[in-house]
Amino acid sequence: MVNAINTKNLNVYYGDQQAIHNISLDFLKNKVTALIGPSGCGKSTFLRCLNRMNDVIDICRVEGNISLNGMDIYSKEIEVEHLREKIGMVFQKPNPFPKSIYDNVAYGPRIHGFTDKKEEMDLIVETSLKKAGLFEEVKDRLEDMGTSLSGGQQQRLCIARAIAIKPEVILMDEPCSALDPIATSIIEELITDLKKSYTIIIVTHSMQQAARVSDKTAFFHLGNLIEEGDTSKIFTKPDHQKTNDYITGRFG
Amino acid sequence: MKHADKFYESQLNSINEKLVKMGSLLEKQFASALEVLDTRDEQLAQKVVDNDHEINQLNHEISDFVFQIIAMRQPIADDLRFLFCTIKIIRDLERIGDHITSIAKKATRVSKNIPSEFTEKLTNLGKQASVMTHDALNCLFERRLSQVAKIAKRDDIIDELHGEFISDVLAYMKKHDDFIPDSLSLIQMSKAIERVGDHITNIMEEVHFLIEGQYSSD
Amino acid sequence: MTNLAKRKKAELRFRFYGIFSVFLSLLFVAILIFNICSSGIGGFYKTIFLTSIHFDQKLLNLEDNASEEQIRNASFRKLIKNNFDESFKDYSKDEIKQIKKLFYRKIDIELKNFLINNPEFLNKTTKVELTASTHIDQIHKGNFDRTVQEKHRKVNNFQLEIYDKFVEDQKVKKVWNSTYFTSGDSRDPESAGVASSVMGSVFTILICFLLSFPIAIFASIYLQEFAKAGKITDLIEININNLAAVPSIIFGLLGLGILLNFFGLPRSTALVGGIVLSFMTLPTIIVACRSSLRAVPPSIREAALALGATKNQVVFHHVLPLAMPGTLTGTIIGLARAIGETAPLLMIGMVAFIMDIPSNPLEPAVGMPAQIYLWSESSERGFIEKTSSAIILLLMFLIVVNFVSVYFRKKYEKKW
Repeated sequence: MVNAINTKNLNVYYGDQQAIHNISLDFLKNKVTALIGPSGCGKSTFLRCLNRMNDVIDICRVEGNISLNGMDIYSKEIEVEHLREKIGMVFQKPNPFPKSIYDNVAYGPRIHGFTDKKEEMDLIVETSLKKAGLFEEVKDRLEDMGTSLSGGQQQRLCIARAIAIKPEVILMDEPCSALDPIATSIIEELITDLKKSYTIIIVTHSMQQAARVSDKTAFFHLGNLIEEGDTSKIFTKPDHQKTNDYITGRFG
Repeated sequence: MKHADKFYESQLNSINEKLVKMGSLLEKQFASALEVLDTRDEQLAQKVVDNDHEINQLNHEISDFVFQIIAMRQPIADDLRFLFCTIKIIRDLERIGDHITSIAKKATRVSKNIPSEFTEKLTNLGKQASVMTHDALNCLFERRLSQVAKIAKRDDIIDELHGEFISDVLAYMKKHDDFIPDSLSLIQMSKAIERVGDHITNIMEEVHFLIEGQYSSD
Repeated sequence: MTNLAKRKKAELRFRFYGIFSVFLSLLFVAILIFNICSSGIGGFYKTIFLTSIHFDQKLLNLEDNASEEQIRNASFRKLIKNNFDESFKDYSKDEIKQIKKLFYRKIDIELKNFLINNPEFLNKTTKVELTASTHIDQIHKGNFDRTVQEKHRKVNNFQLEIYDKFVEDQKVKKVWNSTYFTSGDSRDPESAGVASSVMGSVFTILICFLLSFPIAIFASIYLQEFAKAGKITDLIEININNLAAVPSIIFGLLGLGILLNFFGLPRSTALVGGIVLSFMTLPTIIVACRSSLRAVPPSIREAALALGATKNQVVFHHVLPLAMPGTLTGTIIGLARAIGETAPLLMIGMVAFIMDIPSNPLEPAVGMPAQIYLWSESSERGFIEKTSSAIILLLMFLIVVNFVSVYFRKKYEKKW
């Protein structure tokens, strides 16, 4: 079992408030790990640390170690743009650019200088759309606006856009919460397929989704990591009472 | 901590209550059956037979209810273990009920003039099984993991006593031909009590799973 | 009456007020346009006399195949006198003088230009269109009251007689006044044109746009995307918002003091005018651009950042294009105001009499509003209609600027 990305003693502060308390968590390569926990427990904050999206928030301070393949992501030798090439992100509300479907997928490869030949770029776009399970539906209208697609299709477009730059890790922040059940199950199936090539970390509010889709689950509560382990164990016999109470819907 | 959904919480509590009711009915039945063995009271025996219907009905009720909850609530973790084990346990309880009923029926057929030692030994065996049942039900409702193994072990004693009883009855039967019909009844009753012990052991295994999330290795 | 009936009645009344207001406004606009057009249309036409001129070589002192320069240096006065004396042999010298006054006093230049453009007519007789004087022009357009006493009129009875005769002989025509569009200002209404003021306005607005648009956009981007929130940024913001409300003449004073006195830039030029107007337009564009930038949803920025775009790439590839429609609207508003501004330009001297059409922003120029003002001050009748014609042109200029901006706005508008 190889570690794709992991944190060690991670502490995150917003001004004086501490949002993440000393979390050390390993994410295994080519596995899907779900982050669950009540609202405000810090799972989205934690996720955004992994690709340094919290850098844009001035009052956010990150302490501790985050490593991608053993390399500290905050080291001076890594450019944050290069890091985000390796760690992609899909957001809660689908956010395709107001450009054509083709240009949406091609944007990442373009700015990272993958190729300037049209045929090669066409191939990249086609491959990414195929991997995201969207190609068949849009192959005849690649010049249409990305925003003209349905919600589920838009989210798959965002996934295609993220994988076009060949990341190693894909972060997903509640990717299905804005979608209907059928679109949700299409994306869940996609995730199960994608993990063959990528390491996936998904934040979700749905227990059932975490149970369906993930290999490992980590339970967060008030900025602390309470428990993490195989999903089958967490959902049948979690070690901690807090975990059990949260997943069975008990509050106190 | 209670479930945030009060209705769900009450549904789970209701299943537990029915289970407790089933258990207490069973204990009463067992006491009555042993009394029949003592008094050969035919009316009491008929009552035991009639009351068994209620146990069977509770079995169906609980089973249907659990099925509904699994479909509507997709329970996980401790809720799931509870419901899963409940289904298995009510089966064992229902079978125990059947065995007790057959003991009561057979007890009336035994002649009154058989040697008292047999009645005493059988009653003793029955009381052991009755206490085991009582303790097992307490262990289930109070989720006492420490008692599980001990109670399960008592089945060995019952098996031993049963074996001894059979030998004694067979030995006596060889010497007294007219004892054969009674001996058959006695053997069947002893067998029924022994089966009760086995079912209790099964129930203990389920209680272990309920608490620990896995079956014990022994 | 029930409550519902009362509400419905109130609604009907409200709708009536609304429609009536719209109708009233449209009526005012229609009256304004009608007024301007009816008085201004005339300015686009001029009255000419159809004459027969003999270009006698000897009178002009020109050789055969004379060069353009030689023609330009020749004097046409003798030629004119000769042609007039020949055409009006039956009239006295004094009368011929009065007839000459029916024509534009610079017909010698008109004949010169005609010969330069058609040198083949040297020593030949041909039909030439000569501009009538401004008074005849007004008479022919019907703006002249003949009932006024002769000594109070600019044209006496004899001249009117001759004019009527010309009309009878079909020698008087109204033609399209191309000189209006090709010449600069002039003391004579016959040869006054808007070309110099149009070019002046064009250069001024161009300089204003080229300066204010990029500066405003970069300033907005800096303030919105890069500046750290704090007291200094707040201070800058407040000041910019206030600048948008400063009276325009203050900017004129600024231009006078800094550009003319301190930097010594040439007075009365479109360059300085453009710079002054750009001070004025900057705050408007900045305010519009900033609010458009703010309206771009953060999800777009996040999506681009997550793909590994640098902050600059996020702004220029995604945020700015989406903010363009709003920015362009603000630009239209700012430029429209600038086109019509006169006060600040007055302060820096762009209100002179400009005859030559400026060919670059460094030559003295005058803007269209100032030109209109100058013409409206004149007592000559001929300038009245020229003023209105210029107003029509100014309005059309505004409409064109508007359409160009709307075109660019539609081009950038994307659905999201």
